Amino acid sequence: MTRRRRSSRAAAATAVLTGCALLLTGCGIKRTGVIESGHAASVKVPGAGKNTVLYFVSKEGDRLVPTPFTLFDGYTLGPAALVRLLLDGPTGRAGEAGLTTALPRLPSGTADAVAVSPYAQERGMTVRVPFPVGDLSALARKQLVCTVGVSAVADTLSPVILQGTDTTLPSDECDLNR
Amino acid sequence: MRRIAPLGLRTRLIAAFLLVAAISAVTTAALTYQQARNAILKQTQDTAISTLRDQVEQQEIRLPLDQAELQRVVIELGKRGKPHPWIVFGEYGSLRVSTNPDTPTSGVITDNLRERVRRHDYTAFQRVEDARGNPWLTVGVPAVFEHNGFKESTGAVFFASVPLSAERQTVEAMVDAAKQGAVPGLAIAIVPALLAARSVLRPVRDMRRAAQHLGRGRLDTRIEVRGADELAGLARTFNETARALEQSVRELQEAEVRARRFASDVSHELRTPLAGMLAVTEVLDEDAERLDADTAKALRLVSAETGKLAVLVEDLMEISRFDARAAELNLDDVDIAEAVRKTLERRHWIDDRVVTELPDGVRARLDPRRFDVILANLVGNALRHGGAPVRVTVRTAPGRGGQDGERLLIDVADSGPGIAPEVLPHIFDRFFKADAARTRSAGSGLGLAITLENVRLHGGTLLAGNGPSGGAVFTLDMPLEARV
Amino acid sequence: MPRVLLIEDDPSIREGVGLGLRRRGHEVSSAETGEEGLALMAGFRPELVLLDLMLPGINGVQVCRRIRENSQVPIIMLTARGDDFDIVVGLEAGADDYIVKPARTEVIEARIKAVLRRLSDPVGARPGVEHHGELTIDRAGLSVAKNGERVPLAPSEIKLLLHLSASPEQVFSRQQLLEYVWDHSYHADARLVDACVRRLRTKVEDPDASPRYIQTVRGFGYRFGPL
Repeated sequence: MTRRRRSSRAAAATAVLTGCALLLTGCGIKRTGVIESGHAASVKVPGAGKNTVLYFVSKEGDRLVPTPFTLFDGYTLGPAALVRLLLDGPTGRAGEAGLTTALPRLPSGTADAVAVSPYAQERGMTVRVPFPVGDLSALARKQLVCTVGVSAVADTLSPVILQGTDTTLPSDECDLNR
Repeated sequence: MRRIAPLGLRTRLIAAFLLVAAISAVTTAALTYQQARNAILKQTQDTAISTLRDQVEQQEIRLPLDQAELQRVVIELGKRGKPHPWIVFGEYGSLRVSTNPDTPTSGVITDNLRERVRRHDYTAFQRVEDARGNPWLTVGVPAVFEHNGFKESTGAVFFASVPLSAERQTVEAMVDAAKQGAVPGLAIAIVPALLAARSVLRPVRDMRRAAQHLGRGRLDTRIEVRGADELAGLARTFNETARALEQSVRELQEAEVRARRFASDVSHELRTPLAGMLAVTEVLDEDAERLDADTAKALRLVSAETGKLAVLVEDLMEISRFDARAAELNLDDVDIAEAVRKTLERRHWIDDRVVTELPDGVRARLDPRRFDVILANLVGNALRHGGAPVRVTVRTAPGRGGQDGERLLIDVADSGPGIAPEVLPHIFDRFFKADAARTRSAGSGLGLAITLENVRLHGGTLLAGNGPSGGAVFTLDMPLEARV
Repeated sequence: MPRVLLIEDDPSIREGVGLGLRRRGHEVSSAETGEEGLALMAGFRPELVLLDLMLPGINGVQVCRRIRENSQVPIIMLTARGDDFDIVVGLEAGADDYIVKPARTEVIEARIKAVLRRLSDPVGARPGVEHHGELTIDRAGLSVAKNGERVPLAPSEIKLLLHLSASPEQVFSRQQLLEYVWDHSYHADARLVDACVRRLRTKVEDPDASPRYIQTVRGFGYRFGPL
C-alpha cells in the first residue's frame, strides 16, 4: 500500500519534472556545434581550365592552395619552367596573400638541374630536382606532383615521379581533395 | 515516511484533474513550441545558407586573391543579406576582410567553424551567442572552382554572421503566448474538474449517508444503483451486504425472540403446577412430623425446593417481561425514608446489620413495589455476599446538565472484601455466581439482573464498584420523579 | 371458619388450594368454570370468593361483575403477576383484593383474613352513626346511606370509606391505606387503592361534580372532605 502509493507519487513527480524540464530546455535559442550543411560554393575563376596552376601551401600550412596565372594566349610554359616557378615560392599577389611553400628554395645556380621528362601515357612524367626528395614533407611532394601533374599537359592529370639527389620516389598522382 | 495531511476526496480529484490538465497542456505546448522554434530557425538558417552560397557562386574571382579583390567580393556579398542584413567576412591566406572595415575578423565566428569550413569543402553553420548573450547564426561557405573537371578549393572562405534577434523575439512571443494561454486554460479546467468531482462524489456521498443510516440501525437502507461503473458495483456490493446484514440481524432477532418466548412459555407452564404444589407444601410440612424420619426428610425437601422453584419461576417471569418490554411502572408518590425503612422492616433487617442514613422529607415518584425489589435485592445481596454492617445512604442531587429533574442517589455499601475486578463486569449478568464454589445461592441468580432492569425502567443507572474501605458499593442513580 | 368458594379451572391449583384451606378449617366449595361458580353462589352462600381471572367460558372479570350485581361478598382474584391489565379490570369490576399465583396457603389465608377483618376504629369509641353531608355512615352496622338510601358497598370499599371518614381532612398516602385497609405491605400495589376509590366515588359522589367526599391530594394520596 505504502510502497504503491510512494511509487505512484514518484511517477507523478517525474511527470511534472519532465514537463518542467521540457519547458525549460525548450526556451530561447540555444547554441549549437558546427553543423555541415551542403556543398561548397562554386565560383567562377576566369580562365579556369586553361590556366596554369601553381600549388602553394595555405597560411596555416595544412593544404594546397591553387594559384593560377594566365599567360598570354598562345604561350605555354614548359614543365621545367613551371617547376622552377614553383620552387621560387609565392610571389606577387600570392605572396601578399600570405601563401607559403613547403619546398626548399632552389640553390642558386642549380636552376638548370631541374628537368621534367616528356609525358608518356603510362609512366606520366618524371621530375628531377637538384635536392633530396626523401625528406620532403607530404605537402611538399604534393606541391610538385600537383603542379606538374595538373598543369604540364592540358586536360590531363598525369602521374609524376619525383627524382631527387638522393632517391627516386614512386609514381604519384595529384589528389587534391582527398 | 512523512504523512501528508489527508485531503478531501474532492480536493484530491480536482488536484489530479488539474495536474493531468497541466501536464498535458505543458507537454503539448512544449512540443509544439519546440517544433515551431525549430521550424523558424531552420527557415532562417536555410535561407541564410542558401543565400550566401548562391551569392558566392555568382562571384567571379581572380586567383590568387589580393586584398582589393577580396574586399570587393565581400562588399558584394554583404549587400544581399537574407533573411536579415548580415555581416560578411572573407578569408584568403592571411587576408582578412569584412563588410565592416573596422572589424576585419568576427567576434562570433568560432575557430571551430573556421577550421571545419576551411579544411573540408563543405558549407557549415553554427548558432552562437555573443558576449552580451544575443544569438547569432554564423555560416561559412568555402569557395571552390572547377578545374580540369574537379572541384578544387580556391582557398577562399566566406563567412556571414546573421543576428537572430528577430527569431528570438518570435520565440519569446510564443513562450509568452503559451504562458498566457495556460493560466486561463487551467482556470477553465477547474470547471470540468468540479463537475467530474461532483459526479464521482455524489454516489460516494449517497453511500456515506446510506452507511450512516445502516449504522444507526436502519438495516433496510439501500442505494440506488446508477450505471455500470465501479461505483455502481460498490453500490451493488453495499446493497448485498446490507441485505445480508438485515437478514442475519432479523434471524438473530427472531432467534432471540423465540428464545425469550420459550423461557416465558416455560415459566408460564411451570407456574400452574407450582401454584398447586405450593398451596400444599404446608400440608406436607405439618404432616411430616407424624411420618417416619426418611419420609419426613423427603417431604420437607420437596416442600423447601418447591418454594425455591416458585421464586425462580417468578424471577424468570419477571425477567421475561423485561425482555418483552412488557414491564410496567405503577408510579406513586412516596416518602423515600419511609419506603426504605419499610423495606428493611419487612425483611427484619432492623438490627444493626443495616445502618441507614436517610434524609427526612424527600418525596419521590416511583413504583413502590419495584423500589422495594431494588432495595431488598441490593441490601440482601450485600448481606449475603459482602458482610454486615451494610450502610444504606440516601441523598439527592441536582439534575445533570440542568435538563433532568432532581436525582435520587442511593449507596448500598457492605463491609465485605469487595468485588474482584474480574467479576465486576459480570456482576449484573443473569445466573452469574461470583462465588464459584457456591453453586446455588439463596437467590435465584437473577436478583441483580432484575434489580438493574427495575432501575432502568425508572430511567436510572446502577453502578457496582468497590469503596475506599474495600467493601462493595452499589450506587443507584435515578430520577426523583420517574416518568412512564 | 368462613365458607370459601374457589372458582379455578386448573385442577392442580383447585385441589391444592382447596386442600390447603380445608386443612386450615375453611369450608371450601370448588367450581371449575365461571358458570358453575355462579350456580353455586345461591346454594353455597359463600362468605368469600376466590376467583381465578383466567377461566374458560365466561372469564373471571365477568364472573366478578355478575356476583357484584346482587352480592357484596368479598372477592379475591387469583392472578399471575404480569397480568397487569386483567388485575386493573378485575379491580374495577369489584374485586376487593388479589393474590399472585403461585402462593402458599398461609399467604392466601392471610389475605382472606385481611379482607374479612372488621376495621378497628382508630380513633376509639364513637357514636354509631355519623353524618357527613348527604352521607350517613353507620360504623357499627357497617352500612352507608346517601340521602337516606342505603348504598351497597363491597368490603374493601366500606373499609376505605370508614377509615378515611374516621379522620376527616387527614391525608393518607396510598401506602398507608394499603397497610391499614388491606393489611398489605407498604410497597404493595397502589392500584388497589385507586380502583377502590374509583368504585367508591361512583357509588357515593355526584356523577357530574368533582369528588367531595373522597378527595385526591396530588402527590400525597387521599382524604375525606372537607365538605
